[in-house]
Amino acid sequence: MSFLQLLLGRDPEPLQRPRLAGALVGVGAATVAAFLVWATGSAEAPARAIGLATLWLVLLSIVSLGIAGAAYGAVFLRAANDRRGGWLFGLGWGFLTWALGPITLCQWILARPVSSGGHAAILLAAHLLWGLLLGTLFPFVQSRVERTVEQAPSPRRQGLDRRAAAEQAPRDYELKPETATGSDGADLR
Amino acid sequence: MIRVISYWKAILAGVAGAFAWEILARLLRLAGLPFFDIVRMYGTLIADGSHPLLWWPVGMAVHAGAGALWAIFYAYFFWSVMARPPAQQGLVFAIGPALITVLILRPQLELMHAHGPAPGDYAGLFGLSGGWQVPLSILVAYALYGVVMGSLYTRPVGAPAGKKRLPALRAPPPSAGRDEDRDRNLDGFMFATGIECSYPTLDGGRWRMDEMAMCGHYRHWKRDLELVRALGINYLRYGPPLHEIYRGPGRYDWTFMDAVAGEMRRLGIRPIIDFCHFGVPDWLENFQNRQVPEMLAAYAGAFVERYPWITHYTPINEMYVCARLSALEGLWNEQCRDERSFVTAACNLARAAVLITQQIRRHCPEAIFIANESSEFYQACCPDEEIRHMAEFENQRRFVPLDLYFARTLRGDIRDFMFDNGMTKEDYNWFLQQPVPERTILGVDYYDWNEKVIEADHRARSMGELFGWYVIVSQYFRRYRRMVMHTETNYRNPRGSALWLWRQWHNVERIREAGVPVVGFTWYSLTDQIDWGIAVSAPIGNVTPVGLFDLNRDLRSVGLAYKQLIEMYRGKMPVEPQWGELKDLPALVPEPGAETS
Repeated sequence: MSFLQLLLGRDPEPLQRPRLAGALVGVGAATVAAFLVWATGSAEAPARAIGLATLWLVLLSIVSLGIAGAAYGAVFLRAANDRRGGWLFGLGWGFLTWALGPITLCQWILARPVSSGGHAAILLAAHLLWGLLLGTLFPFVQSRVERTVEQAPSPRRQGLDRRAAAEQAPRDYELKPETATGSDGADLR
Repeated sequence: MIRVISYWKAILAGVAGAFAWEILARLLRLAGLPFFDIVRMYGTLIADGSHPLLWWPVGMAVHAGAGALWAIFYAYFFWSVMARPPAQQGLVFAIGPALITVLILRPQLELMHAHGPAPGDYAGLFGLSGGWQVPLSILVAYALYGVVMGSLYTRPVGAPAGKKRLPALRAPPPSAGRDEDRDRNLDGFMFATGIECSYPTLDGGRWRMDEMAMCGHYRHWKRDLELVRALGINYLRYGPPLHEIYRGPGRYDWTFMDAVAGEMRRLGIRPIIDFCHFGVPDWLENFQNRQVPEMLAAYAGAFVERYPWITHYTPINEMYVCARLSALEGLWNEQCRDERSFVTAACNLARAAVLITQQIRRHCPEAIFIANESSEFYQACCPDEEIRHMAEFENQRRFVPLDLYFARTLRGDIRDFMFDNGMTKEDYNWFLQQPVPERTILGVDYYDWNEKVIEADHRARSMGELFGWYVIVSQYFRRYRRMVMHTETNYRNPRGSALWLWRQWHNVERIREAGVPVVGFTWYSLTDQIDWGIAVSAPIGNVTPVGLFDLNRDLRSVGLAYKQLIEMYRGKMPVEPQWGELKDLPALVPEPGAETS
């Protein structure tokens, strides 16, 4: 069991698929944010700095933010469905991706800023917008992609499996009908 | 949900912290010190930088907004993580945003100003190449922000006592209901859950912890009832918010309960109503008040008259726990820590339960009573006579309120203890003379912390499941000789709760096979709860993940497991009501400890 799942009961079982939901919302929200960056011309300077065509940078950003969306689902798990707090978690995640991606990682590798002036501000705004959309829309998408009760695995069986794994219990064994019959054929059940 | 927070408190605290920062910054800049001017930095990014009247309001609005956002983060992720005073918690939290501002935000803001009126030079990738004064001033500013914000963000859950929390609803008055609507008898095994509804007060009665409000039931009550049905559950333990409904002697506000009762009826949910769940209305003060029994009985009478179709009642929830935590442990309500207060509370609670029962029977003779108590067991840690004696005493004390309710003679030493601490002989005789309704079921709650070991330092510590529900309920069953219901259980680790559910269920199965008439089972509660990890002793807002659903109303594994269990066993647990005190007891396992009287 991961620490995050244990922490405050965020275990997403039995129905939720937070990584899938996060990836889907992440890509959708990234499309909106990427459009903002592309339409304002704010993608050109970073594209030049990296040596990519603007279109490729925009596509790369959408894929990266899709992965970041899946990571958001993996970190927040069940808590990402919080309709009151989701917007804030997403906003924070958007800030984090901005700080770690275009700022820290790119500037470190290139040894110079990737953008400046109003375009740099739009880059930040686009990440915050992406995060806001991610956090706000996540619960709604989650409810569309989750398993049905019929598809869900048995929690009892899962619990027994976990217990056996955690406590290194002796192997389970399967009872055969003849177990209940004595050597003389008498029914012992 | 990670934690229940107070948005408006967090926003207020964050904005106040931002203003404190700005006042300090202005004063120090007026004094000629090179203090980082974050408001100007924000303001000139958006507005014309030529005059402060243009950029200051914009910059301050952004600064206050950022302060509010950080405070909401603090509320969700940091508040109460450290067992330190709030101001210190805020101070430590502020280290994070301070470092982010020094290393990331400030240099990036300077870059964003590159073509405009930038107030300073670019300080390099991580903001450290422009000298130490500005980074230091940011750290100082955030320290002030953290202290102010932390000091102001306290008590995110609960509300001042007396504040009305119920939603304004327009519900039609309840129809009286026909006699045939009444569930006159037990017609099958009761699969139940409950809405967590504790409402004790803290801080000398000034702060109310209302679990229904904190868990969102007042907002989501309709959905909650639908979820009960969605799992196939037919009985719901429900404690109407006494402190909200009972406004004074003879004064009731039934608006919310009318709506809830109407919906329960529509959905076919049979409520098991409890009249007192760890608290009383403000005007009744606490369980030391001798008026509590009569006043609660009057409330119960008015309730039954209004909702005549309801037939299942728990007069008072967990009397022993209520008396202990209110009057002996000092956590709730009167917050006393002495034996005399415990005896007063226990007697008042038991008397209230008896009077409520009698009042209900006047209006509804066929009512079914489920007298529940939290099962407890104390084990001495070692062969130390004093500790063994303590365990023996506590193993008797746990029965006191139920003994009084069931008109049982107290064991000599316990009776003397009660007399020594304020119970009069008249009180005692009164209890012994009260009739116990035939149609009474013994409810026994069980959690993994109910079995305790008394350590060498005389402290009782939870030791997990030592004997289990089977053995502990045997002790209660032998004593009271009534049909039994497993009235509460849950487990705080969501990944283990499905197995816990099944373990409890197998306990029920086995003891039924041994001959004990168990007629119902309850997973408590429908949703996660708030601050039960600390026995609701402080308004923190932490989620205790024990529900069939979480507080977003999303299904947990144990919810699915319970649904599957009910589908598997519905109709396969025959119930033959045996009302009254049972004459023949089945042979059960020998009792641990010395709880026999």
